[in-house]
Amino acid sequence: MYTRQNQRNLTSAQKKRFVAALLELKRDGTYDEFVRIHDRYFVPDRETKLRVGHMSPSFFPWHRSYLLEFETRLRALDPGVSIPYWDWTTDSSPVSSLWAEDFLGGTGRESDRKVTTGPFAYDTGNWTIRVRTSEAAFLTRNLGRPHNPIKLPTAAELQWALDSTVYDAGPWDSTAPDGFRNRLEGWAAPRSERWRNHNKVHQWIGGHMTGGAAPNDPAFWLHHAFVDLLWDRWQQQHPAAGYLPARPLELGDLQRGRVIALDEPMPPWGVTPRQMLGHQGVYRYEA
Amino acid sequence: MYAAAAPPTRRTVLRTAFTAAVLAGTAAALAPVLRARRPRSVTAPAPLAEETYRGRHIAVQQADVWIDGRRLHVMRRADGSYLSGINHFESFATPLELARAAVDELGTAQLAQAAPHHG
Repeated sequence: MYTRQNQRNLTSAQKKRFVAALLELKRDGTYDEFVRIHDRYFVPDRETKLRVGHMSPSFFPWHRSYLLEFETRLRALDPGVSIPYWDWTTDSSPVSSLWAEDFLGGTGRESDRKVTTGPFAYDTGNWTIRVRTSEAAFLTRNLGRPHNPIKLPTAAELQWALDSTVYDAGPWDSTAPDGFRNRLEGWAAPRSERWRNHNKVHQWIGGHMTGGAAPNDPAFWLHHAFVDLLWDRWQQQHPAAGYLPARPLELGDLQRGRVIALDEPMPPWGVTPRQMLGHQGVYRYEA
Repeated sequence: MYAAAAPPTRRTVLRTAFTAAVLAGTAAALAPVLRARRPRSVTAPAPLAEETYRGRHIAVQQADVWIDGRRLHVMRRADGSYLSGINHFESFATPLELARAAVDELGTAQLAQAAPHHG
């Protein structure tokens, strides 16, 4: 049993070890394999194929499994390392210590969004982007999107998602009008504000984080560790509510075969949402 | 889907329209000659929209989008709105808005020649 810490409490020695493990996975090609998996499993909900990672109920268990697989690789290199989480409701500034030279580095420059500071800057020679959506071989960011400013989700916005009494709801996609999953994934939002929570954080970071190759930015892991923690928090707040759909959808339901029920296996690992409901005995979150 | 299809240009549109007029208006004897030279469909192409946005050339034909001649990977949400390989976490009402959002995010960078594949 190990602990995932709040990134703001990491010592500089812990930051160094986490960064060193990331750089090693990048060097041996493992990191880019993970970037490809995330992109491959992004299936938008107009398509009739199975959606496991996004716009579907298995958003939480799929990403839990994805992070666990990645963390296992990190810990094989250094058993003292785990994925820290970033509480974006409290550390919400583009100049917070998260974005400092000794951790993730800062925002990109204005012209081409190139990150030029910290251990993931292209000029270090350690972080060439290979899974590309643009020609840029360097990591890109655009913190706060200055040309069209956006703010990170507030505690109230997060609470609005946590207050949802059901896990998810039909039609089990990005148009689901209610449910914790769609409110936290961030497609469901009041009319006045179209994107919330998880989606908004991707937009706030900008650059690679807005696209299919989002995990090219190591900030991805810290963001999703917090999303994972929030699933715990929702479960604690609603102990009687569980993962939905509990059973495979009926014949004739348009979403049949497109979303994962509680006991159906999720590609590419074959684990079920039920197996991912908790993480007792594996890791815990620092309060 | 990711094949490097050439972006349609005004010239393509005009040429296709001309070919269609010739085929419709002259003897069928000419048709084999024209077919041999241009072995492609003569159905009228959909309207093409073009604009320069923040110094970048955007071309939109139905749901296909090109930025400076490079194809943008366009996807749809269940509500009919548009997403792209550059914007996975927000969607847009029209392909043109989607293209502008991609330019906003790209800065001066060009789209990749062949984007990674989805499953």
